[in-house]
Amino acid sequence: MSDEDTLPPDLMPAKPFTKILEPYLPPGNSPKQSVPTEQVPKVYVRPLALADVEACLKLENEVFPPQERCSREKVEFRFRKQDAFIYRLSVCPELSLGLFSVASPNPPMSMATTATSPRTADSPTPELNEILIAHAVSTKCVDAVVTDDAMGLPAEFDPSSERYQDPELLDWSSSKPSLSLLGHQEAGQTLGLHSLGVLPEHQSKGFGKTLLKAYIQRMRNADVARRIALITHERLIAFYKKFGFIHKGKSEVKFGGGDWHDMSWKDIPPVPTSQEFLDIVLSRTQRRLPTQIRAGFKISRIRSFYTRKVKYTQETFTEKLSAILESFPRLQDIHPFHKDLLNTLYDADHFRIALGQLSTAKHLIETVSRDYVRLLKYAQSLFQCKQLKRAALGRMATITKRLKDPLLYLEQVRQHLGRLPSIDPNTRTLLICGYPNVGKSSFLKSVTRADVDVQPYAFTTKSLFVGHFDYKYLRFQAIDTPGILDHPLEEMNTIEMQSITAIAHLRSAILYFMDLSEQCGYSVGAQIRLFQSIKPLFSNKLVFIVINKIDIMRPEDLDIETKEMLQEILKPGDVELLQLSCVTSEGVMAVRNAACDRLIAERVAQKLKSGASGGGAIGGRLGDLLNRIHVAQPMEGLQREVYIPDAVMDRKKYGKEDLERPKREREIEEEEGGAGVYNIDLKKNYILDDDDWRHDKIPEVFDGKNVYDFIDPDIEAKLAALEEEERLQADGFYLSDETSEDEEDANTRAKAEFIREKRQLIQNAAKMKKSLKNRAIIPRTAKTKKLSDLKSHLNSLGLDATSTSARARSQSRGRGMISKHSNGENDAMDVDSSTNSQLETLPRAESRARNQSNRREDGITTAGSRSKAEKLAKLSQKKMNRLARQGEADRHITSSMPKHLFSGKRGMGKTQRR
Amino acid sequence: MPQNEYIERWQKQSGKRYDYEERKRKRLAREGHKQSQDAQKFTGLRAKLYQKKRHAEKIQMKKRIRAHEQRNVKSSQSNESLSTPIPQYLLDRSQTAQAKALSSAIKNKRAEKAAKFSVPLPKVRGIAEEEMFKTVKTGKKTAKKSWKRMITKPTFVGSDFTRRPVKYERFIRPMGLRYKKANVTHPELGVTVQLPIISVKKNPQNPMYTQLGVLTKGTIIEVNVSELGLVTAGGKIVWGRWAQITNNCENDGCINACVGQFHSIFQVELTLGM
Repeated sequence: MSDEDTLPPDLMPAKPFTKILEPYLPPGNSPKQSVPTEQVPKVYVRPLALADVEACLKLENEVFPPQERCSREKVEFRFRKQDAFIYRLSVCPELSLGLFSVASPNPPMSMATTATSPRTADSPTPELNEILIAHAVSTKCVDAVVTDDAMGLPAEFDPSSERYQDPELLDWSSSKPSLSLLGHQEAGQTLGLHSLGVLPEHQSKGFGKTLLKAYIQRMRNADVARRIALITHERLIAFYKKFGFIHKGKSEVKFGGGDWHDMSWKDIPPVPTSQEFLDIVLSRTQRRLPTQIRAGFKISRIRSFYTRKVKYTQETFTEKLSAILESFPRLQDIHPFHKDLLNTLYDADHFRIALGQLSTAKHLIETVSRDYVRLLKYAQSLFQCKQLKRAALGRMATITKRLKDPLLYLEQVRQHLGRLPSIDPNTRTLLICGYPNVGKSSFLKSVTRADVDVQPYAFTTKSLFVGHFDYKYLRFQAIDTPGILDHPLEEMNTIEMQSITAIAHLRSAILYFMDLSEQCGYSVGAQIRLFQSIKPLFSNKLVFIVINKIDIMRPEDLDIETKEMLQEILKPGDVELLQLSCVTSEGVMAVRNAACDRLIAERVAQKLKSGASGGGAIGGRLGDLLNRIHVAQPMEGLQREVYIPDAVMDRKKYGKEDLERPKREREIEEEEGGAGVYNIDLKKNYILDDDDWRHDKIPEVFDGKNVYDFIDPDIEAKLAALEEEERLQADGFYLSDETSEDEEDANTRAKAEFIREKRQLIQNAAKMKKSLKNRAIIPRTAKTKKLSDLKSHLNSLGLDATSTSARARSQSRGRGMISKHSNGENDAMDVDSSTNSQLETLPRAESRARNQSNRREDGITTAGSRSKAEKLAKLSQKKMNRLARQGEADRHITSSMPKHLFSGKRGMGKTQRR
Repeated sequence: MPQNEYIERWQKQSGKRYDYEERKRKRLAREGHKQSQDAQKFTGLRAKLYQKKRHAEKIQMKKRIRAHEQRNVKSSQSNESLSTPIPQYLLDRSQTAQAKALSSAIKNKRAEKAAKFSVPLPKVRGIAEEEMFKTVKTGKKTAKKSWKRMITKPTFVGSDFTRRPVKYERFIRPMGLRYKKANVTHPELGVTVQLPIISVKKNPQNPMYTQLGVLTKGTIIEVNVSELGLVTAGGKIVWGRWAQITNNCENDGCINACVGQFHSIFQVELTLGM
């Protein structure tokens, strides 16, 4: 904050925020996991700049309904949205944040509608356009909630003026000051979050969450304000509650049709009493965990049931206690002024002990839980488990009950802290101190708008009060302190100690108020003595002695003794005497201005001094700043000489009035009759082989062909090559001397053709055979093959098939007939072919046949007996046929329990049918 | 910006709401109605909590009412010590009270005498072996013969204890159930302190449990009272005293004990037992 004196806001350091964000990115959006349907864009956040206004507006138009985004026609809202963005991004760009994604080189169709913003100076990828996916824009305001005033713009803001068109010219903090309550209030301690939106096509992807988290973290780190406030509709309250926002009830804002709710973040949440604390935790355990054990649960399940109860209760206790511990400021982390103020108001030891007790309790509860979880592992019965759980929760409850006093104390501290004025210890500060009733509060009231109580008795002001004012376009804070009495530090009470704390720790200009009229009830001598005694606290500070109530008594009217005493304290030279009267308001502004001028000069000098180190080199923060302003040098500073050709160097230079000067085209034009009459000759300077060709006309189309198609620098050479080839062809250079093929070749070719065809046929046949077409595979051996097929096949191969077919016949013919047939068909011609084995087998087969009689004909003497035997044979076969048996030996059972007989309901019919 | 005591300041400047007092009075008047309403309306956990709270409140109310009533009651004995002489036929009345006092004094004396040789918990529930031990069934042979036992109750194991080899170890006293300290109440001093256990003197269930150091309700333990700074009649510092366990340790996760005067009985019994 203290940088405003010298540094423009756009030089504030910008952290690379994507790194910090990574743990917050929702799991679905992490680069490792890829969403199948859509490519997840890589996102990063950075503060918005004035250049992003267009993108913001587009986003706003897509996200919010028309009455909330406020169109140009709606005059009742005092401003237009565009102006609002320009205003907010120019006044306080550091309070805004945008979530960007880098557009891919070929963006998908959905991206076409998204708002792109031109590249800004600090964007990481220069080639690609970044897309604003979500933004958060805010200003500071003085109220604890967002009001209509805070959402407005100050009256003097004029977006059409040139200053707002050019971001370079903009430095709002040093421009015209405003006392209006509209718009951004630098002194405010509340961040009003006015606009938070995510592009519709990127909603419910966790971007809003990411941005809000980043925003809260960033603002917390920067410590710019005490709380964040926003207004929202009822349906989104739960969303904001997840981030720790507190619902403060219906808002009074009328903007966009009303019906808004206030939410606020970063106030210390209320500390419950020990009894409430217990109720919260125990009822949570009761509500969130299963409550019933049923008969027949295994002991392991019962054990885990109760273990879970114990653990969950402990976790809740720990969570709540650590939330309280975290929400209070840590004394070692805050500014010494605040630390001392806390010490005087609440007693730092007490505060520390209270927090210490809380953390001890947390630790004890954890120990208890650990012990009882261990014991539960050995529990033997449901009853034992239950008793152990009861004991564990009971002990936790006892520990919590002992926290009664610290919790009460912390709640009081919280309430008081919330009402303390927000004092910025580093900004430009006027500190008003002095005896009680000398007119300190009246002065504060007359220079600022602070609403302080002014009463004609001592110790009206019992604590520090803050007011703000502007001087030379800078915001100052003035602090009114309670009066101090002149006694040792140890005897001072809490009220006086607050003043002492402020004097000791704040970097400020001190206005020591004196009342020479002694109406306050203290003599001038006493007042001077007080000044002397607290003087050690004024070291390294600007000190002014301000004489109040000059309408009654001026320093000139004093008696000589007191005058001398007064001169004594002014003697060292670093103390200035100022005079004013709050009643007549004489000199009030003069005093204020004098003090402010000195303060500004002092601060700037100090800043420069602290910037420069002992040797005069600039280091520290100023050095950091200067380091950031980097002038890039190409070629690493290497100097390249300019090359000018000799012809150019030697060219004669003509003066303007030189007669030998070559004529310029314009002069020729003037001579020839000026524009419209003279037509410039464009072909004049053509460089061609022959200068006569310059003005030759070339037709565009010649012989129905486009002339430009035939223009080629190598056309001559190509033409020559073509003509040469034609000549060679005419000479018969390309004619071949090969003869036609001979007969042998033709024969071979025919055979090859035949073979190919045959092979193709075979392949096709095999394919046909293979293609199952849902039929069972029948092995080749099981297939019947006709003898005629075999014969024809063999014949086609050119082989003799007679013997093969004869053998096949002999196999298939009935046994009894073999001898006759074989005898009958045996040719004498076959003597050669009949091998030895054949000769051997023949007689044996004959003899066997002779031994085995034909049983079909055995014992049949007459034709009648034959038919009878056949009948009997058929009869004996009848049963087997009925049961579908193959023969006597077939005992096959197809299925033991046919499904259709054993499944389904039996209806009305027989028991064997269903 | 409102700062410091702005609420008080506001009230000082503008005063309170015109009907502030009235509303307050009415709210108070309707308090009973609201409580009744709540008592009928609440269900589930809220009802339970509410009833509990209301129950406690009612007890307090009744106590207070009784206290008030007792203050108003006139006692018959109050005007007993009259200086005026009482006729003979009325003398008997106060005699009964005297007799009662006498008999109660004798009773007290007897009880005290008995108390000298009694223990805080004279009777304990018997614990079956099945409840006390769990059979360990790990390993082939162990499972087959089922000879190994794990003690399911809290135990005291001396600091010099070393385990036997696993093969011979019949009883396992789990680490998680071993205790070293007991919360000991001294009824005469009216204090409760956590003291280290020295040894287990007697487990009424079974002498074996005494040996094993099992801590159940009624067990006599010896605790280290050196921290209390007790002194014997002879002027020596007492450092060990006996105490009896008064709670079911396995259910509570802690050991509560009560010191008493049981030297003689147990010395006799112990000598007999061992």
